[in-house]
Amino acid sequence: MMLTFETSSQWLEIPDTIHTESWQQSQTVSGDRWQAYLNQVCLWTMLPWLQEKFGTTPVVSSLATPQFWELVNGSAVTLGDMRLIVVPTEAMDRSELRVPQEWIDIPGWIGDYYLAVEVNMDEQGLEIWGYSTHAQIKSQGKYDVSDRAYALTGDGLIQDLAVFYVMQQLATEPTRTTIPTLPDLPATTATVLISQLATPSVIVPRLELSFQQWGALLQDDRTLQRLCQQRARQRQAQTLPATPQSVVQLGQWLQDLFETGWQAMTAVFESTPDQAFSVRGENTQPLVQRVKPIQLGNNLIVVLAIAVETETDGRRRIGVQVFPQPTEGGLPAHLELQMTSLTGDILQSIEASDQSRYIQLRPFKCAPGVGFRLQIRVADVSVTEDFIA
Amino acid sequence: MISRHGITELFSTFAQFSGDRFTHWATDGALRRSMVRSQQQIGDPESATESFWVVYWYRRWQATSAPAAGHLAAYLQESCYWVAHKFSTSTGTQLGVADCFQMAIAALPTVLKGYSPVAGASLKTYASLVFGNTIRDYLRQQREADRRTDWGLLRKLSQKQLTEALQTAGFAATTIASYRLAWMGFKAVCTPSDTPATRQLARPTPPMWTAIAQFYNQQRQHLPTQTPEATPDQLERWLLACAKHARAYSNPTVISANVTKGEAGTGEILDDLPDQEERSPLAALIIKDELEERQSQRLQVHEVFTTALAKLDSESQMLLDLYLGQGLTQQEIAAKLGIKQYTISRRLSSVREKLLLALAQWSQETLHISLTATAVKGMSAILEEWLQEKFSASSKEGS
Repeated sequence: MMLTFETSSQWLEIPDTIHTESWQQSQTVSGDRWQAYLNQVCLWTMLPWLQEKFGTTPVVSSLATPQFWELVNGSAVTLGDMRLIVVPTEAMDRSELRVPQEWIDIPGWIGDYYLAVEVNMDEQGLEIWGYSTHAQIKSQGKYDVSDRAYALTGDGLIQDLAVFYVMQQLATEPTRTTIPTLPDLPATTATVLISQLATPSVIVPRLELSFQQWGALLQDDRTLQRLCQQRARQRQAQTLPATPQSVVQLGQWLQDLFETGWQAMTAVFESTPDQAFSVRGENTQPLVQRVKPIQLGNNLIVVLAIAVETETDGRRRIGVQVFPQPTEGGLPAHLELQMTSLTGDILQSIEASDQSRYIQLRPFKCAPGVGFRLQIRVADVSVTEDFIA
Repeated sequence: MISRHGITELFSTFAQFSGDRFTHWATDGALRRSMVRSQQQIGDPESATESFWVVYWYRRWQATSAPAAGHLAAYLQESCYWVAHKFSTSTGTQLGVADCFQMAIAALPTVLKGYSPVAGASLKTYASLVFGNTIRDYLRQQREADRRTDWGLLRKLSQKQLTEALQTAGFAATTIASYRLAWMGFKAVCTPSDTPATRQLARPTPPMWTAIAQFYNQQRQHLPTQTPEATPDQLERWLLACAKHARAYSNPTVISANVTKGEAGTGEILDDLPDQEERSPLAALIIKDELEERQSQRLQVHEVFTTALAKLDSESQMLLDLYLGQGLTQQEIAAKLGIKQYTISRRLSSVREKLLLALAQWSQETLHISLTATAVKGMSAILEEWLQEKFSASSKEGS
C-alpha cells in the first residue's frame, strides 16, 4: 500500500527577477538584511499563486518593505475578507511554526490564517507546508519569551493545503481570538525610543523594549514609519562615509536633487535647532539646508549640516555645522571639524570644547564647481565627505 | 515478512529485526493477556473482526486507557513495515528497512492524534499516509543536512529541533538557553553576503563574531538565569556543538528512542490494570452497530467520489489516469505532455481539492457534522483509500 499523492504542500519556484530585485533592495537595509530579503522573495513569489488559487487579487499591506522586514519577520496579505499572515522560515524540519508575537498580539495586525513557508534559497524555491489560525496559535501555541514568538508544533498545524482550500469553500470556522488593546505611546516617549532603536549597534530592535512599548510603537503607522526611516538613515551614515565614492554636488541641491543620506533638517530634528543657519532676506536665492547623520566609531553619531545659497554675484555661500543627535545635549569634547581643499590644504578648522552644543565653520563663499573636503574627527576615528560647490 | 493471523497476535505482537532484516514477531505478554481478557469480556468473541478491535482500541485510546496505544501500535506494525520497505528499496535511499521502520513508528502518536474515523476511514490507511510522510520528510532533511556545512546547517534548523537535539545530548536547561541565544545571534549576524545560497555558508568572519558576542552579551540579561559574558571563542565552540548534536539528532535510532515507550505503545505497560469500563457485551454491540453504519457510509462516500470524478474535465481525468492508473511520476507526465512539472503538480492538487471538497460538503449535509479543519484533514484518508481501490486495477504499486 502506497500513497497516491506525493505531497500535500505547495512548492513554488522563485523567479530570477524577484530574486534579483529583492536582493538589491535588501542591501539598503540596516540590521537584518537577510530577513528582509527572505520575506520579500517569499511574499512576491506567493502573490501570483494566491491570485491564481483564490481568483481574488491579493492586497499587500503597506508594511511589506525591506525596512519593515528587518524589524519583524512576516507579511500580511488580504484576500477578499480574509487576512493571511505569511511566515517565512529557513528551517527545513517541519517541527514548528514560530510566529512573531507582533502578528498575534497587536490587535490591528492579527490575521485569520498563518501560513508556514520554508524558503529554500539553494533550490531557489519555497514550500508552503502548513497553516493554522490565530485562535489556534493563541490557544495552543507556546509563547517563548526568549524570542517573543508563539510556537505551534508541526503536528498542531494542518499540513495539507487542500484542507485550507476546502475550508474556504465551506461555512467558515472562527479564526480569531480577541486580543487586549495596547496603550498608545506619548509622542515624546516614541521619539526617544525611536532614536534609541535607530542606533546601528542594535541588531534586533524587537527585543530591546518591553512588548507593550514595542507593540505600541509598531501599531501606529506613523511611528513605525519613522523608526524604519531612521534605521535606514543610520545605516547609510554608517556605511557610506567609510569609503566616500561619491562627491556631493551642491549645485544640484539648488535644483532640489539630493544625494542619498542627505535629509531635510526636520527629518532628523523635530524642530530646527536654534543655531541652524536661517534664510537671509537680502539674497535672491533661498537657502537650501540638508543634514546627514555621521557615524563615528561604534557609539557616536553626530549630524553634519550644510547650508548653501547663491549670492547675487553667482558665487555660492556655504555654511557648515555639526550638531549632536537630537537625544544628546552636546558634542563630545575635542570633536574636530576641518575643511581642506581636495588636495589636502587646511582651509579652516574648529574643535568642540567640553560644553559645545554645536560647532560651525565660518561661512565662506566660492565659485560654483570648486571642490572642498570636510573631515570630522574624534580621537582616532574620522569621517570624510567631499563636496563640489 | 510473515503476515500475522489471529486477532490476538495482530494486537499484541511486534516486528523484530536482526540487522536490517525482519526476523520474527515477538509477543508482548501484557498486551497478550489484555487482549485475551478483553475477548472474554465482550462476549461472542468469534464475531469480533479486525475492524471491530480497531474501533474498540481506538475508543479505549481516546478514553486514555493504558494498553490501548500498545494494541494499536502492535496492529500498525505491518502497515509501518510495508511503507518502510517501499522507501528503503526505492532508489537513492541509504537507509535500510529497519531504520525506516524506526523512523516511521516514532510517528505513532501523530497517527493516533490525527486520525478521525469519519465515514469509515481506516486507521491503516491513515497511518500509512503519516508513516510515508514521516520517512519522506526525514530523507529530505537528511539529504539536505549532508550537503551543508555546519554553519549552513545551523541556518536550516528550527528552534525546536535545536532545543530537542541539545536536550537529547543531555545538556542542562540553562546551557541550552545560552546556546540557543548564541544561535539566535549567529542567525541574525551570519547571513550570506554575495549569493542567497546557504548550503556552503562559511565560518563567520571576525567582525561577525564580535557582533554575535555583542548580541549575546546584550541579550543574556533576558536569560532565565544569570550567565557570564561570552567571548567569540566560546560562542564558536557552542555553535559547533549545536551543529554536531543537530546532526546526531537526526539519526533514526535517536529519533525513535525519544518517543516515550508509552506513546509508541511498546513495553512498560502496566499489567492487569483493572479496566472494566465499556468492556461489556453491550459496548461490543454498540461498536458492531457503528461498524455497520460506517460500512453503509462508505458506500455512499464512494458514490460521492464517483460523481465528483465524473464531473472533472477530461484533462484532469487523463492526468489522474496517468498518475494513479499508469503510475507515472509527475516528471514523467510532464515529459510526456510537454508541460512543466509544477503545472502537473498544481493540477493534481486541484483535483484532490475538488474531490475532498465534494466529500466535505456531503458530510456536512448528510452527517450533519460540524467540519473543523482537523476533520477535513482526516477525510483525506478516505479519499486516499478510494483512489487506491479505484485505480488499483491498473496500478502495480504496493505489496
